[in-house]
Amino acid sequence: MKWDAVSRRHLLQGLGGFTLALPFLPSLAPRALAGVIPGKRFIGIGNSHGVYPEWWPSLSATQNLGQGVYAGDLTSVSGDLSPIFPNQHFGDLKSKILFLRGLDTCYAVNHCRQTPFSAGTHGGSANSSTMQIGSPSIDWVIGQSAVTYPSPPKVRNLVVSPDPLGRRDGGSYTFARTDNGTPVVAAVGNAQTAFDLAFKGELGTSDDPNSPKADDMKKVVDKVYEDYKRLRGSSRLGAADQLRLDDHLTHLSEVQKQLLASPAGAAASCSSPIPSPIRTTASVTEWDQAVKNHIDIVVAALACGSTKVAGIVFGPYFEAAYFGAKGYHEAVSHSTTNIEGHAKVQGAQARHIAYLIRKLDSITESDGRSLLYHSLVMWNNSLGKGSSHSSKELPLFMAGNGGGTFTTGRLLDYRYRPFYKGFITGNQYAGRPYNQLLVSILQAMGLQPQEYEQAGQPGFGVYDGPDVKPALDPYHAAYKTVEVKRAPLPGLRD
Amino acid sequence: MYERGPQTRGALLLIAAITGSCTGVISDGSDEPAPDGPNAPIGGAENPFTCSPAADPSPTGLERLTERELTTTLSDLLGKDVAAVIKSVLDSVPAEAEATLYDNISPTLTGEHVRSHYRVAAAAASAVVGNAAALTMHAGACAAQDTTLDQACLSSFVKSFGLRALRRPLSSADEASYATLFNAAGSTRKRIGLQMVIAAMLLSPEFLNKVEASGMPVKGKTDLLHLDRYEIASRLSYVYWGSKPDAELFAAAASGGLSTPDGVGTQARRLLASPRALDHVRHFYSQWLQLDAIAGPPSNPTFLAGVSPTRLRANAVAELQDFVDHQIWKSPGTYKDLMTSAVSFAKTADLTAVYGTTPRKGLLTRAALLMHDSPYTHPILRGVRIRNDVLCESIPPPDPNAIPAELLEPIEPDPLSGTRAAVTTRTSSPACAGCHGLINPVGFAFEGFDSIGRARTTEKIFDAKGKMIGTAPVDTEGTTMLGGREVQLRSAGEVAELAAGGVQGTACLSRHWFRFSHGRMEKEADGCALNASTSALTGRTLKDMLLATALDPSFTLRKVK
Repeated sequence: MKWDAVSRRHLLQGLGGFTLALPFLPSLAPRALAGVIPGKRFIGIGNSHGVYPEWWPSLSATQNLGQGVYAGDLTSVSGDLSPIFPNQHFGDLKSKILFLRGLDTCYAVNHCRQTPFSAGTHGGSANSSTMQIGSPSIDWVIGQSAVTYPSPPKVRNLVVSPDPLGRRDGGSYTFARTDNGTPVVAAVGNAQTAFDLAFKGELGTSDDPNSPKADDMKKVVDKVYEDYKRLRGSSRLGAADQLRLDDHLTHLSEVQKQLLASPAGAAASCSSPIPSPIRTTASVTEWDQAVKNHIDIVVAALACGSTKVAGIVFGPYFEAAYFGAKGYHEAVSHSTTNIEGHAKVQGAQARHIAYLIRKLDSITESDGRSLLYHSLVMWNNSLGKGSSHSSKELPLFMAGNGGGTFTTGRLLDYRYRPFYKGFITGNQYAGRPYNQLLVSILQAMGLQPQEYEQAGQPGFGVYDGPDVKPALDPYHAAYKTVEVKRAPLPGLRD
Repeated sequence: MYERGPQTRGALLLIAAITGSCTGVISDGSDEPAPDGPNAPIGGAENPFTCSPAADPSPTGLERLTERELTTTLSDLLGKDVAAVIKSVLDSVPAEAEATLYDNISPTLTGEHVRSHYRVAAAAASAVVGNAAALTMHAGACAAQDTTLDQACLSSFVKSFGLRALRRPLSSADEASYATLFNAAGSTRKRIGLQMVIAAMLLSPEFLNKVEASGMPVKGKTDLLHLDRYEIASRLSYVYWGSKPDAELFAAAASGGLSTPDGVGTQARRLLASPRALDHVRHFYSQWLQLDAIAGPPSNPTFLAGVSPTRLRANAVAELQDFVDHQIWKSPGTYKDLMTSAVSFAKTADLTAVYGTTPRKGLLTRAALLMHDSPYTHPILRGVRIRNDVLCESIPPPDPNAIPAELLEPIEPDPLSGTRAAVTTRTSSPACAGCHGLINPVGFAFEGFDSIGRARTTEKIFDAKGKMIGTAPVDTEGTTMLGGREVQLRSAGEVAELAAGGVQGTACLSRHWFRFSHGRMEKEADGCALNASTSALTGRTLKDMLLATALDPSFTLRKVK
């Protein structure tokens, strides 16, 4: 997939949309994407602290699809799907989206910060540093796959955390490790940085004739690599130090490969500065525009082949801005009553996601289908029900067809029938392992089990958490056979 | 961005681990018998750390510069103008993981770190060469044109910039390798070559890490090194400034001024006298007290009763910082002053309204440490803070296997009996009572202050819409085990006095400073350093504790890990 078909002028014309608030992708699309071979894209959207029951569409899933799956037709709902998904923003999108209810983590309560895109569990401790055991995140696994990227892209995982003030939220939901680790990709809050990342690449290659080219920088990294090797050989460093340096050498080697794969000038047609929207305060209107800017950058990066895997993080700054006051976390996230506050923040998130879906849908790729058709959009949370810290019934929202692997327009209900509360407090019911959706997505993106199964274990991630007791959760056992673990969720393509 | 909020932590801490893990005495390691009497100091009076002068210090590993250290070092190295140009690129360096309270303890290296270091180095090199003033400052006027950027100009630059970047003089082999890189750009692209040299230095393992591998072994040992004088200079500057050495420190290293304990002490005192030390020590105690995690104030106008919430959190944190800074730098204060001084730095109307006329007793009753993002206090968080962070006890986090899910629901105080009763009820089961018997009474002692730090004698209870529906009496009294004996607590001030009077508090602060200043957790072999800083803190001032780190003989040694 090459960007050459797009002229710099056209890109700049399009990028004007960021600052002028004009739509750019429609004007960009016809010329930009002609001849480009479509590929599947994954966009993961994550946030924390759970939802209210009113988040879900007011729709009963009564159609029995077999294998314990029940479906409801979203297009049959004439009114708002829910306070979070009103007709104002989702009325014309009902056929393009998908809700999945009854997918559970392997632990009963508590946060696990990897949850939105991975299947782990907390480590038996309330300490956040140990609440992350299980699997890498699927966006990372997809981004590392040679199926996704037969040749190195500009950026394997483009993760943004929109912020008009350009701040970072300090992390993402993208994890490479299965144990106590830090997010492997920083979520970018600054639009200029996101743009540079998307179009100049992870290493920021420049088309400025006064700057070193990739070949020059390859020589720099080669020298640095030798410096590390020399230091590693020092007799005055211990074994632990040498392991640290080995780690550094491994990552440097990756940089060397990326530089080899990014010949000088390759990024030229995609590189152009846009003003950094850094200010000291921001209104909700400015937040709206900032989020759109980031979404535009993400969609443009996906459309022109800079990346095939993107992430959008809605963090605490977003929550505070749309809640309109401090204390969102205390007053809303884990409150049992503040539905208005909940609707403000999660409603704003949903509204921006509707914008993303429309953007993806507005781009026609070379096979005549939309970028949305070739994409899988997944929005998930670190908790199910926020007020009780329940990790059951994760609020899973999806859009796009993954190149024909997912059927939209429905609510798929995987909760065990008859409804069974088990150990779960409140009005939540036992379902089946969330892991199976992640396997479904990995397979839909074309990955083979050997690319995502860890140490030969069937499926993906952890299926048995420390606080799930078989006596209280009798139904999960049926979903933990090797055959089921390796199969996609039933009903997704029906 | 994750689940760091106090609500989460509080909810999880709500439920103690299995009973056995919190029974009996929790001490800081002191075996000294506790003096009798209800108000005897916590932990006794004897320094609990044993110094064996013949013992080697604990091993120190190779430390990578943290995100903060990298930012500060680059600003000092390149100048503020260049630092401003590369700020957005610097912002892409991942924040450090939360493995411990301190960002410099075992920071994890990821591929994104390395890629972001690459971007920073490339951007910084471009910014230096693209800025005429910066280029002249770093490389001299000869670097401005390709025609004058010859080998002599390059050599001069490599020597001077290399010393400051790699924090040691470069060898002739080093110089030759950078000249080779420079020449690879070609004779018509010398300024490109210069950028390549700068980028290579900023990606060097000796720039990005605190490398201590040049010293000579201590006689008779292969794994214990005397730091060389430039390594000592770097240790001093990163301990007290969180950045590279300045020109005077480099000069001291070059002249042999760091070859004696007196010379090290002289430079340590100079660094501590700089405002830069104030900033860096703020970074220390901000992490110790977890100031970034303070949430609040709540937004309920009835509860606030006219106190503006807009800047209250920021003003409360600023007041705490002013107070601690005063005790460290201006007073200069002792640990007892830190814990009990009534000096206030409330300068704004919101905070003045909060403090009213009730004098604050030391650090623990500052509004910032009492604040919570709810109209209700969080006695559990307050108690855990004192136990774990101020007294270095080890209240374990709860075991989720032992937690019934309903116990994680937020606590709603009863209109008639209030927060204390609700917390007591929620934590009274056998699975909870072991730890909460230690946590709750300490937290309850602070119930005389509401969730923005106002003194109170009754607690206001609100309905879901924020309307006040009742009041409950405040009860601050309780009995618990502290320092190995049962004590009766009646107020927050009494907790402060108990902490201030015994060695458990000073030993705990010494431990935390050790962790931050050494970038690792303390071990038994670090007894001498801990003994020295605790003695300084016990007998002298807070500033003396900071200084004791550099004066300890182990400061100029490195045990190979």
